[in-house]
Amino acid sequence: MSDLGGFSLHELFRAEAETHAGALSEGLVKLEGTSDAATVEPLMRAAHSIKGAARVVGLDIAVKLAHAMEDVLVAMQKGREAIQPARIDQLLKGTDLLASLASVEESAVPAWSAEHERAVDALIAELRVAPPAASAPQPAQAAAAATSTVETAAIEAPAIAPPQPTAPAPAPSAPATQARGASVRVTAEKLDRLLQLAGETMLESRRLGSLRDETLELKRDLVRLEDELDRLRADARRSGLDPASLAPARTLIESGRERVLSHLLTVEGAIRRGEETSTQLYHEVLSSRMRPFADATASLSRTVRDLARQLGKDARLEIIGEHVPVDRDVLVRLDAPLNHMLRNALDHGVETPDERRAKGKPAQATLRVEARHHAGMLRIRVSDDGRGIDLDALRERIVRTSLATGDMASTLDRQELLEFLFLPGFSTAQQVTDISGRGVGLDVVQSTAREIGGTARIDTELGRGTVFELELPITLSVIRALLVDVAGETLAFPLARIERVLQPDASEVRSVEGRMQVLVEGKSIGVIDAARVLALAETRRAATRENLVVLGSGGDHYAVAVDGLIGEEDLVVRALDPRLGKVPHLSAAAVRESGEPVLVVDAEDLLQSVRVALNEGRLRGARPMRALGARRTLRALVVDDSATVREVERQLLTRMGFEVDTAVDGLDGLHTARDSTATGALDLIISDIDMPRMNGIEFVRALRSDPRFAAVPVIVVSYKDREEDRLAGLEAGATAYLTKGAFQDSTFADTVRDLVPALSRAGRGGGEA
Amino acid sequence: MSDPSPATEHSNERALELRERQSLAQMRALLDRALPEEDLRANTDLVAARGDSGAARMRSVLVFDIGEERLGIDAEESHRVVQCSTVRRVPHRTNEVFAGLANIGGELTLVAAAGSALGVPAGSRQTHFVVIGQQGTRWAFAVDRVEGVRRIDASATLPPPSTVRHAADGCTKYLADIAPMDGRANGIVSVLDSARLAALFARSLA
Repeated sequence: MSDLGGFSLHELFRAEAETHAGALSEGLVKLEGTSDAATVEPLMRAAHSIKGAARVVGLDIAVKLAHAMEDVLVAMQKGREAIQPARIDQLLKGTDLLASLASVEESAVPAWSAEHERAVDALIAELRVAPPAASAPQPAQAAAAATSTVETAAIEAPAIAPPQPTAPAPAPSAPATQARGASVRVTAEKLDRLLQLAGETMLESRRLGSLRDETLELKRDLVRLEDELDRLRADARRSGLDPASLAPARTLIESGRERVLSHLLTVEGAIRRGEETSTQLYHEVLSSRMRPFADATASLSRTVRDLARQLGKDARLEIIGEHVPVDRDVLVRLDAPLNHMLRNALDHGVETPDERRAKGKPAQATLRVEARHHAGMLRIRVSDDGRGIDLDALRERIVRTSLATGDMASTLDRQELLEFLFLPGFSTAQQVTDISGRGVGLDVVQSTAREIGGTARIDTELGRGTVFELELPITLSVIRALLVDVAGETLAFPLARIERVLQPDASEVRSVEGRMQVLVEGKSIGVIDAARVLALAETRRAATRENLVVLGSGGDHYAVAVDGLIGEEDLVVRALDPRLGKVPHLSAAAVRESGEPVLVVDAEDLLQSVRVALNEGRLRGARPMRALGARRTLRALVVDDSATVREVERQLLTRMGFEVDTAVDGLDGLHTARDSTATGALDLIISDIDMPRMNGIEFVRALRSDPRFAAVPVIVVSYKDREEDRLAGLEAGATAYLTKGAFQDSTFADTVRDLVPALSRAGRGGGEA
Repeated sequence: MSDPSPATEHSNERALELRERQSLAQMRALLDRALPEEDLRANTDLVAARGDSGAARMRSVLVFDIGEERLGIDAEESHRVVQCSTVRRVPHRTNEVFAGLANIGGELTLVAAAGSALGVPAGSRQTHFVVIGQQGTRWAFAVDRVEGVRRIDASATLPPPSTVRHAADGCTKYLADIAPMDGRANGIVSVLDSARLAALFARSLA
């Protein structure tokens, strides 16, 4: 196959189909809302493009389907057919099928075709049935009948015209798609490589500065030579020699100095231009990583529409700030949280049209997603005008689920109460619905925000609505960091994570009950030695002055002692080489302006270790040797990509007497499991199913194929609660399969006790020897 | 064997002139000059050899020192050779074999201590990084001296030793007799297989 910039022909088809399917999906929903035939044209083109692309790669099934869809769209545009929800449904179904086809690998296409052929043919047949004339709309589908009341609501809605707050001038859809400009697809790796080279070019041109310095030195030498000559002339005169004999030398030096001076100007100009151009190049490449916020919202109106219909609600989505530039990496991470927030709003926040009318609100609810840059951060607000959250009911529920005692709950303030909504498995819904499950999802919002260095908060007003606010870094590529020296290595702490920096006299750091402490504003803060936590040095360098980096949030602060503070710098971070796996305490690597490599500290992870180290008097990563004959501590490994779930599981298991290791995905889990066998056997492994890099099923399979882990009990804890998910987990080799609701009662603890008999022998809650 | 000295003398003279005058015309003359007989013969041999299959072919070997050991790698298997720069130790990962990360041409590259990996006592000079592998499997390792790229006759290579004394033997693709340039006695160089070398390094991360 010819070289297509690293893409195979099929991959190009997939990319194209995906783009157009997105446009179709978005456009169809808009079309349904406006019934404006003028907006059909871009959709026709999208269907047409998919047809063409499918023909190139010989995907007849997609050619047929796209063709039938195109026909319907043409009829709509020409006014031969009315724009009706039932028809839009069919088109959306077709779009979904095309998108699904675009999501499979080339090798899996035959299987996909076999599986979906009948559905595609049936849909084509439906699409071909010319609907009755435009004047007599009639839902043709059986499926449509069930939701016909909602459709009515949706169609009526525009008539009510809810009060519109500063409508964001919505660009007509056709020019909007064109305005994004012609684009080419470049692989992310290629872009990263470009960025690296641009960075290197900038470095090289800065290094040219030494040329200027050398020339300056040369100029100084000539000045010294001139002085020397003057002295010689004076000497000559004194000793009766003719000073004029030195004149030619003087002329030579003078002309030399002039030439050096003009050379210096040339060099300086060249260096300056080189630096300017290379810096511009660098920033240009960096900004090519930015995409408009609209890229993250394309599928949202579709989600809202489908869900609203399913729930018998009527809602419209308003998106503000579609042009706000956001880093590709951040954008990718936004998908899940945005979906969860909107699902939550529709399911729990938005009332039914009747309820809304009764409360004097417009029947159609308004969901709003707003993005803007604020103080160097990307701020995303997701708001609804629904029923809001009843704080008293929330407090009651917290007490009922034993997450806090009544006394404690009564002292919680508004913000603290709302924080509970982010806990996994916590829900305010009266009943479990399959839309947002058991309140599942909101923890994803917070954990995603935290993972990329941001925050999430909720605010609500009873009867008026709820607002989620995410504050995220605009780019993950550039961070402002404090560079420090730890055992001769340069490490970077992201400034956003640093509470403060202290340089107390060494005598101010005291040992209290075997723990190092420092007094800051009357409060005692635990001090931890960075070199030891990071296993970079055995002993600390003696110093008269300590350099402490204080990390933490809320009341939870720790001071990390480093060997020196180097200074602040903007770093372009890049992922650590995947061959290194998830390195504890590190989040990324970077190259300094000087060209020197730096490692970026994962402050959250480090804090976690510090907490464990201070609470248990040991350092993670530097496991203590266990005395022979001592009763063995039970050990568990928790694998989950959600920091919140990891923490909940870790705490539960620690309370039960386990020593707990954690890992962020299957691959990390496998590494950690293998590492840990060096210090003894694992007694229990807990794993999630949905995880990046290696999912839970693959992880459990990999464990079972390793004789060292063949017999270790593995509990899968997943959000997925369908029977086939359970079977898939058990077939892979899991010993038990629980859903995350298991945290709400004793199911989790009971299962653990059943599977680890040694636990009861060691005594409940007292596994420590 | 004809005496090559007239041709060599001739070109030396030209080179000197060139340096003195920096004349473009002279440079052209140098480039247009008749090929020295020795070069011509070597090239003729090379072209002739291609014709009959399985016969002698030349290969280029990058020869370097690790400690006192003289080792090589097929030049086409080395990605680049650069001056040593800072190797940043990676917490919880750096070990005897995996040294850390270095910025090589803007790319953060994994650096291995080839001496420890190969069981060869490492020297202390460490002047250059030899970079091997493709993107994603790339490794750099420090060497104490780079002798340069040497051309050898591929048919005159020896198979690696059948008994593996240390890790270096296990990575040896073939042995080649390359006369040392600094008068050392032994001319036998272990030419390493870069894929096996990379795999050996990668094992330190497992």
